[in-house]
Amino acid sequence: MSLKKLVLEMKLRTGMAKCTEYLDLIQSVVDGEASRSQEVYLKRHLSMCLKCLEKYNLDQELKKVLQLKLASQEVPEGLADAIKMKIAKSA
Amino acid sequence: MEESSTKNNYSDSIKDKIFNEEFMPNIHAMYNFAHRLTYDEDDAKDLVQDTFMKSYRFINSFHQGTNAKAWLFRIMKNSFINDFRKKSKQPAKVDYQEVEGYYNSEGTQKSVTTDLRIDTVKNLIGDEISNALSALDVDFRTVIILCDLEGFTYEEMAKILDIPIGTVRSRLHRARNLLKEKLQSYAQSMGY
Repeated sequence: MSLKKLVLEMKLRTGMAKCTEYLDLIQSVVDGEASRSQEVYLKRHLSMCLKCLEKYNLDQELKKVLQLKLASQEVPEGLADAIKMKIAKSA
Repeated sequence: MEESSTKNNYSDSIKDKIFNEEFMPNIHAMYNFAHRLTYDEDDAKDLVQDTFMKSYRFINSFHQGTNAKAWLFRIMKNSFINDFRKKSKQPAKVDYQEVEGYYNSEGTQKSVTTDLRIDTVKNLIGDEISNALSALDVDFRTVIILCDLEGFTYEEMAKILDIPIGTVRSRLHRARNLLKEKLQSYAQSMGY
């Protein structure tokens, strides 16, 4: 771990980090990429900072909305068969 | 990514088994990715066909039982960049390397303040979100598709896109800020 990351980790662990230093953590937690301890650091900060809580909620909602509301396209009929036929011809 | 210098030498029956049981079940995700890259049904079909043909041709580089979906997405991304994008008459919209350089530099990772509110996001309909997403440069659109719609991890995305994980993070951060700006201006124009 680089010195910079080590210092940030200490700041996050002790709750001494600035709001801007929680941005990466918000993204990691929203994307399910954070460790258990990182989630705890963020939750502790969110319980004290409305601005970051709003950002976290917005990011989480945006991800949810993308998943729920973007229409999924049906695979055109015959595409799978056409691919299999091409493969059989090429083999 | 499930690809190494050691190549397999699958028999024809194993090749067919891998193709039918590991590759083909991903056709729905592949078609949707292709459609969100090209926004054209015929181009999407061509891109899917091309990807599956390449996947069969290079099947010995794939290790049975590993992440077929990520492997196929990587082929599709490369096919799109090398073949389809060249045909596009669209000029490059954003020099994203420059943008990423800025966002990767120390102390510049910051929140872009938009007035976008959570209630506005909740009230958006699919078409509005789709329009905002399609208005993003393809490189930014791609990271949102891979992460939010397809659920790939940062590590998988790094391998699909051939970029470091740090760049995945910064590109995703930038892409979401751009998407919020588009949604905010869209919401404003609709009087939300």
